[in-house]
Amino acid sequence: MSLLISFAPSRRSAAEDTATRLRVLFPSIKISIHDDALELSNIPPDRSDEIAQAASDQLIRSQYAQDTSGLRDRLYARLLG
Amino acid sequence: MTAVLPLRFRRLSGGDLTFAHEAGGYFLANDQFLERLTSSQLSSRDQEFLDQRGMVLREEGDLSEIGFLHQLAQRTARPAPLSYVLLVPTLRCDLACTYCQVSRAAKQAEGFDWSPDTLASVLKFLDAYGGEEIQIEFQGGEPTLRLDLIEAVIDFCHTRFRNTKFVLCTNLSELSDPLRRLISQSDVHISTSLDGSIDLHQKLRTKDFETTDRFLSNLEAAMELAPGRVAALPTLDPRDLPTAEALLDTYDRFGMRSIYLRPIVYQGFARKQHPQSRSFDAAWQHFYDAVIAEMIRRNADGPEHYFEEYYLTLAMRRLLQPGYDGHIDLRSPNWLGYDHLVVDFDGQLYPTDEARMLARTGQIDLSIGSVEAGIDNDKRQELQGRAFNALDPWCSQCVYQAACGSDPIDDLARMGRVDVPRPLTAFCQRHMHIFDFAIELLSSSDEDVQRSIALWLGLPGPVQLVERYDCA
Repeated sequence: MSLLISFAPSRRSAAEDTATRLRVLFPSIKISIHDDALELSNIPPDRSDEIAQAASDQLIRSQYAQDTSGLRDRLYARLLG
Repeated sequence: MTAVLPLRFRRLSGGDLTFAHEAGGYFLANDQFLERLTSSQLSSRDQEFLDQRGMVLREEGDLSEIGFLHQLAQRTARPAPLSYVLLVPTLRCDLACTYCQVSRAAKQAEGFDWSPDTLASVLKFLDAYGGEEIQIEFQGGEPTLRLDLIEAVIDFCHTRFRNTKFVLCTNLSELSDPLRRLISQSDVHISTSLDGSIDLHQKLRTKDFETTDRFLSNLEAAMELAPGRVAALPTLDPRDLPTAEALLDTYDRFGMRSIYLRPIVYQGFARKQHPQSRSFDAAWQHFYDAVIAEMIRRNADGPEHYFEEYYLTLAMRRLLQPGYDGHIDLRSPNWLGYDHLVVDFDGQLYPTDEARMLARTGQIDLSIGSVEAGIDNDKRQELQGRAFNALDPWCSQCVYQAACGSDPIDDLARMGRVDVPRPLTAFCQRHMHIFDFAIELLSSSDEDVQRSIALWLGLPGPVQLVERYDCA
């Protein structure tokens, strides 16, 4: 079975990061990046809920990490003087 | 400016989300909070909750920023002087356990003990590199086969160091009069093995009734000679586990209530005879949870003789307490070959015992010098490349990075390389499970759970240490 996880076209970089990580976590799943969605296919039906949740969480995680990377860098710069 | 510290999150099995920043500050919340956090639409109540925990930055140098940076600095372990040395005076052993990690030699074998020159070099090395305090662990093989070497080291350390502690790792198959005299000294501790239940111990280790009986008698005698200074560890096969009740009954019989639950380590002889130990095992996970549940049940009866699992307590302290860096397998950066060193039977130096085993089994030479030549700083420096988990692309998105560590030697042993994506490593899988479990316990409202946590962490009474933010 297949799943679509949508994202804003401006967040393509985060979607690519998400796809890279999901390919490591779920090597048997086929993952394609479209203009506004990640398509996950070849999903075993009994794992669809788990994989959908993991994919959705990872997309949020990747987007948020990119959004806050400047602040993280600034804080580390402050720490290191 | 007003900004919330960058937070990370992880979904627990029950659906709750764990949140933390890079220096800790763990709390639970739900999906609605996550949605508001990541869309920059936090409510005033959310802001207030985060502000009260020092997670809102208003201007450079404000109290929240300084507090966060101070915690982050405390979370960053620094290289420390040599204070813990593991010595292997002999590789020979009088047992032949299938899961032995150390490529032992037979009891009658020759050429597997320190020579007189090696002993002299060990003492010179300790003198040159040691500070004012030293803890020495005698490993093997069975180190008590060379009590003369052990006594020479202890005598030297008593003259050289202000504070000393010695841990004798022995299978207690023999307890000779000289050994009895040695362990009567107040700074000599015994660490032995007790594999879950007496039946399992005999099956896996002592093999016959007579040897088992001798071990049990020796253990009881050692506990009388060194009260409070005898500890035992179980090495457990996830395919042949005791029940939680049997394990705790066995340890209770000997008055031992701090237990470090360890599955077989994928090292040495275990690589061939227990190949499944390469991966993290779901059976082990269920067993681990069952033992902790049984400990909590028994601890509810009273605090006098409570049980704890050493590594779970360590994980909880790491989650809650920046700067708690005492365990070398669970810290970041994990500086290899600085405060902790291993001296093998041939005088070679290794950063950890696992690194020694990799060399013994011919996989990779991770020696960083010898007692004769000293520490090879270039080789030691090469080992530090994966020491800092904050620089790992997976760990840097992980909610547990602040509390977790880095163990490139374990990755090398199991995977043959150090650049495997973290979630695929046994180290990551094992620690994700332990930290998830620790967070569930620390956020529990169950008074029995809270009572056990208070005992484990030395707190005056039951308390919920990880808050559940009610943010509907």
